[in-house]
Amino acid sequence: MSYFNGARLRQLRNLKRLSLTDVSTRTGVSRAQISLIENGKADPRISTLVKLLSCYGVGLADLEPSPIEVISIDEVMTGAERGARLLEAVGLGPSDAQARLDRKEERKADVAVERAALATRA
Amino acid sequence: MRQPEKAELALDRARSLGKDPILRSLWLAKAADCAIKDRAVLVGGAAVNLHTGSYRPTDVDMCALLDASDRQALVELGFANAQGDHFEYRFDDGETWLLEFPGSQVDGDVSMIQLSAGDTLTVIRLESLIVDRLLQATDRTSVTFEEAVRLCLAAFEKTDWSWVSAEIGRRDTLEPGLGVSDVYDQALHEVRSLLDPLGQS
Repeated sequence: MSYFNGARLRQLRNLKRLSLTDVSTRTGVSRAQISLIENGKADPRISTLVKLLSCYGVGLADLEPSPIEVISIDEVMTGAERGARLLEAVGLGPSDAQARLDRKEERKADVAVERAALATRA
Repeated sequence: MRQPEKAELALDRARSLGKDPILRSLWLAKAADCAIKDRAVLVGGAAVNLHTGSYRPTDVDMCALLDASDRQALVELGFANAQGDHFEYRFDDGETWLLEFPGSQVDGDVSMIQLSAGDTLTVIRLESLIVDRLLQATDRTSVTFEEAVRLCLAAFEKTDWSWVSAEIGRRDTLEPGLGVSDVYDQALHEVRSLLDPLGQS
């Protein structure tokens, strides 16, 4: 596990709307290496970091750590229950999964396996 | 890093914790995360369901870089390769769940869920998920807009709206033709009008 905040680096890349391939081409850092750094699986060398930051047009200060929030499973379950209650209270029932699949199908996606799987769940 | 034994244990949890869709999706996701080399991040509808509790996801979307050995590892764990990057898992109680790996990169920030003492799962951060749903709603259909409204409303109190506003502003600057700021304004207007009678906006 890396101690470097790769998620922040990914966010900076996303803000520039650059793909991994774009960045790799511009910096000479391999696509796989950038992915490892962004996913917290490798610490970047200083020279690599400088290339990436320069590509994004930002400085070291923009890497200001944004600590990753850790949420307990109990908080998740309570939050989901509260959300569902609130939606019910304002008159919004459960989300319409079939309508979502219809929408995907309109966009030419093959949703056969999703429909079949959904049918097995109440 | 691949952790096949932890993947098996996570799948056992998914099987043994009953039919609760949130617990099932989280432990299935954890099983996949441990089976493959890359870190998998839960995104999409299953992530929305963590906040709305009533989304009924049609699959469990995860962002991760997947190669042939990862696909093989998922199959060895008990998933069937259903279609493309869709993997199917059939529970003994008759339910079939699908995992999909729509891409390798998460568009936004992440949070961690502490599933148990030794198990965490990475998920897209709520505020990034809201931005994602608002971007989807720029297709101007009622289905995607309603889903964006549902998430904004269900998570209204716990959302860092200043972060969302800043991010929407940045996205709007990057792609002004998309109209995501308009969708955001309309969604918030809708949410406030729904919450007003409850005195919660």
